[in-house]
Amino acid sequence: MKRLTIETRTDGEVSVLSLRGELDVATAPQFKDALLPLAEAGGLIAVSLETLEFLDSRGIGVLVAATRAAREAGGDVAIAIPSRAQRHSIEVLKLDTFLTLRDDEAQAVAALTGGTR
Amino acid sequence: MSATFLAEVSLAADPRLIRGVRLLISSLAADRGLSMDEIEDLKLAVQEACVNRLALGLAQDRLRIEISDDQNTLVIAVSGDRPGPGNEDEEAALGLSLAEALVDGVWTEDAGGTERVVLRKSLPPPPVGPAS
Repeated sequence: MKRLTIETRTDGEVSVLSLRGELDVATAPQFKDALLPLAEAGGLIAVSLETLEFLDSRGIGVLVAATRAAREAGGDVAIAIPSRAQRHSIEVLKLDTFLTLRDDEAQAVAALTGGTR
Repeated sequence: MSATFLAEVSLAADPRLIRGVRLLISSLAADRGLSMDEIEDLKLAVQEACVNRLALGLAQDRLRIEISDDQNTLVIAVSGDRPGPGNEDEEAALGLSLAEALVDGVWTEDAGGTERVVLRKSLPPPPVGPAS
């Protein structure tokens, strides 16, 4: 069984990456390989962590790097993160003001297309 | 009073194997009455301590995790098999900052030529039985 499954689809002009499993030091490289090329191309990217079971600082690091890369290239990243524990980790690292966090995928897509950051 | 030994795990220094440590921590913490939120925080703190040792190059071949109960406090020590100081790694330091916010205490200490990270998490008081 794969530790992390990433499903990619499009919703209008937004690329949606849905993650299932665990995003940690072991799987962060796989996620980085999927996300960073889209970010560096200046895409609008919604990352859904709605079915993610575990998130560590290495996974958060990929989200930060991709958000920075996307914004530098004229795009952006929004993250659907309903888990209180996972959101708390991001808040502890004081990254909640840099990352665009929403409760579900629809809100994350709207944040990218509707100017509701 | 000395600490009560609970478990000791020695793993190959492979990030994929840390998942097993999380499962062990989860089981021990649940047995000792921590809430679901506290267990999630503890699992992540231990994950970050393990990643820290690996990222700093202090666990080259092996990662060792020792778990004990010291007067109703869970004590988890994570060490590698190489002497410090380790590599510079900004993300590893960030991970330990995260761990510090999730448990009651985090520090590093010398452990016979290498350095280990120690985490402390207070446990709920044991249930009081009926008066006889």
